[in-house]
Amino acid sequence: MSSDDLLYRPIGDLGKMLRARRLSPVELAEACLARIDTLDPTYHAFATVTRDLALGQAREAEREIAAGRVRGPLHGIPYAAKDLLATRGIRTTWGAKPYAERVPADDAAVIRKLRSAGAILLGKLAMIELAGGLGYSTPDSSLTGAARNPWNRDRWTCGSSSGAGAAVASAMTPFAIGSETWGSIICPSSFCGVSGLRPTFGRVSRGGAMALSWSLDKIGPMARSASDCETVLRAIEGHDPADPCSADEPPGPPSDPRQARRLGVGVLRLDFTKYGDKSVGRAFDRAVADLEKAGVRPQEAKLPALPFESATVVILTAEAATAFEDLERSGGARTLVNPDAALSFVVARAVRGSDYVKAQRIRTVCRKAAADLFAKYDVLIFPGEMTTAFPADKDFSDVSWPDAPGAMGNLCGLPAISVPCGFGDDGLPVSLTAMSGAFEESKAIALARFFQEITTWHLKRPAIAPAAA
Amino acid sequence: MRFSRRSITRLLAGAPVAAAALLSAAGSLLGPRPASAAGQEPEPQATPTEPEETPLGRFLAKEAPDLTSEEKRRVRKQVAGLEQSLKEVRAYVLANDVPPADAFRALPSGRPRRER
Repeated sequence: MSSDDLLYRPIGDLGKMLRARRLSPVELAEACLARIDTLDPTYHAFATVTRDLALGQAREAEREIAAGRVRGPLHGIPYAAKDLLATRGIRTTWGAKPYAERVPADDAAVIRKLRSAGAILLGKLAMIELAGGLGYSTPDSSLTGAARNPWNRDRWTCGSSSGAGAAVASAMTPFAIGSETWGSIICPSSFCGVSGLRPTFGRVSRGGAMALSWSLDKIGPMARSASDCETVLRAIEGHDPADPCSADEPPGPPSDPRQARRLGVGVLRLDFTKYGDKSVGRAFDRAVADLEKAGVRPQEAKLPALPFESATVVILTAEAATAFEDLERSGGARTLVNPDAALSFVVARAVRGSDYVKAQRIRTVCRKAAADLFAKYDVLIFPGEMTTAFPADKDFSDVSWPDAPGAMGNLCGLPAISVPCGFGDDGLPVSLTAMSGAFEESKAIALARFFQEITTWHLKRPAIAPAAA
Repeated sequence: MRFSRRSITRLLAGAPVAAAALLSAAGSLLGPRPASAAGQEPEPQATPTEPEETPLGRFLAKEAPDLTSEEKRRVRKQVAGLEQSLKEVRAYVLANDVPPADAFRALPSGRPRRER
């Protein structure tokens, strides 16, 4: 088996090989580290590689598995984490110059859970500075520069989990942990042709994670398949008193792709006449037709006419400005790549206290409307993004980027999973996103798994470019 | 976030909301503008210096007196985008009893509670 064939295997396959001792955790970690050495200079996916830690954890996993002490499906599986998750003794930069040398004393809750599950930390992933919390308008707004898309290195990966998209798509790691406030898991997954899961708000603890927006931030996996995402979710979910927003909900039932034909599936048709790439819309339409042919019965659906985007903008603007106020006081915001970052504090003062409260009251209405919508449908499907990946040198400060389904999902804390569903006319990946009601990840994952049983888009691999000379 | 707030807010200027109707519904830092068709709001023109008698001028004088004229131009551009969202939020009609989604909860002390 070639290194490519091994590293593009899903978590389930790798786990079986590890537990059967047909593959050593050390060999697997070394193969990932070698691939990072070869490819990362081209794709800029990593902020820090934790080679010694990874090999130490891999040796421990090898000993435990050999002794018959198997911790679970992630035992011996390598991963990498977005650089906003604290890692004890390891630089955690938040992608931003003011924090370039910061070394936390403790691990984030997610890192602790994955260590307990026996997963192997390969390193910290590049990200947009402060996850875009003070705004950004160019892909290079990061301590590590613009992450490059493995499908075409002249294209961007999207943000802010930009390194996660590049690392999973190029098989530097079997899975990654990203985060989403508004679009930061779904968009990189879509642009990079990988599967990405945004869990319900509160499903996964944010203890030890950088806060951008307390009422919008979520942490979730990006991986090769919907099934892999579910495996990781099961390892990282759960109530954590250290995160005041952590939900005290039991884990959902395992997803069952056979359930897909019985699900009430609503299709949101987005308007590609005013914005977006029509070939993306066509790829999505073909994916819906594939589901229909396989026995799913999608019905046309519409979002409620509510100000999802505006309420989200107001809440996000106010929360981000206060989350990073230390950078206003210290002047650190002026050292960020985004030249307008320091000005964003002034802009945020246009939001009055009453505006923030009003937006939160509107959110109450939106949340009820979303719950009513998901009483009618089990799952809503729509194109994950309306374009393929942008050029890596694009200035998108004047780009219109409508995203009502994404705003609704994030404002209302709903789970969604993005899976590859074809390619645009430019040969770049296109995605289908499945969104379900709060704490009903299993339904969206079931539909995504079913789609991946009847199609092979998630198995396509980019022609990886050699490292630049 | 997958993109800048400026991108988000700027896109709202072109969103199919009744922007013209909303313009008059709440105070604007940019001051009054001529009415126009929904979705066809003209881009606010940057001025080299912001007269203090305008709402945005007063805002900038109070909040950011030390900014250069170029920085003020960039703030004005971003505020223009944000205002579309603010107007839509301010104009949205709610009943008195709709609470914020992020409701305050009192925190128990942690001391053992006595039985009644």
